Amino acid sequence: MRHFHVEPGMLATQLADSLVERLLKTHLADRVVERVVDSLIRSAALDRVVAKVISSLEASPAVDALVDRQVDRVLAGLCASDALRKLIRDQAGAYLEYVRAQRLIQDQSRGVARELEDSIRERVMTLDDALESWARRVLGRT
Amino acid sequence: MTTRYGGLASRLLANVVDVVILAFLVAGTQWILDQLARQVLLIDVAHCPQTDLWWRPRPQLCRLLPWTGPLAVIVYPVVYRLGFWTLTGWTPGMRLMGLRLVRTNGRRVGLATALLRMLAVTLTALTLGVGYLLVLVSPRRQALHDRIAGTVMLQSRAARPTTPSARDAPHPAAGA
Repeated sequence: MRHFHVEPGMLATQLADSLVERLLKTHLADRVVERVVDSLIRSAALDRVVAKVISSLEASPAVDALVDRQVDRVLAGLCASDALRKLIRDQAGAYLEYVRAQRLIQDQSRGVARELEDSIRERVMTLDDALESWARRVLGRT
Repeated sequence: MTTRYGGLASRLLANVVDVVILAFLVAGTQWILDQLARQVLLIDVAHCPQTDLWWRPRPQLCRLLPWTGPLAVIVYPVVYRLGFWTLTGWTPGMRLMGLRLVRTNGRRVGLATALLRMLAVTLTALTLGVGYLLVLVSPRRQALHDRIAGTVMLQSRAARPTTPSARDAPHPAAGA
């Protein structure tokens, strides 16, 4: 007859595993888990823990370094991206085209207004001279 | 390049433009005051409350409001012309016609000259147009008020009147 030597600690672990497995299969386990989660959500202790974790993350140089590394990686990827370059070039081109068109329209309108102004002025100046010569004729002056 | 002076038609057209601008200014002021009175102060000018108590602002304002229009008609043209003549030498209407008001020595018009010209314009108006017709026969196209105030109306053919930097330069006709 062979004897198997079983460590007492190992037996306890196996027992606990099977017990937990069985417990999880029952409806009781669902209710227990639900209640635990519910009480955790309602407890102020959880809030404090979360706040503490977040503040410790904020102050952590390791997190900073991680974020920096990720940002550098993303930025390097963006800088090297041909698609992004093309997009920027296209948008800048479209904007410059728009500005150029606006300036052209403004210049044209200004030019038309100035031409109109000049033409009115010329005509009125001619009228000035005509009125003056008429007055001189009437008064018999040269 | 010979100096050209503004003739009767140019001056008349410049005046028409200025009068139109002034009409808009007066009408705009009247409208704003009207809206303020109706919407903010809740004053109905047609039905002013009767009171003998002078310290009550609403009835007083209600009685004053109809006078703002006539007052603006008198004050605006004077301030407009005095302001433009002294600050730039031209009103918008004059600028459109390329006219610039200067003293006979070519220097810019000061407040005293502008005031004298303004008073003289009233005198010219009293002559029923004869004062204006002097422009047709005067060698430098001066109206009666120009002769009184010692001013001339320069005219340039270019789209813009002469630059302000040249404003203080002596005029070629100085002392003529």
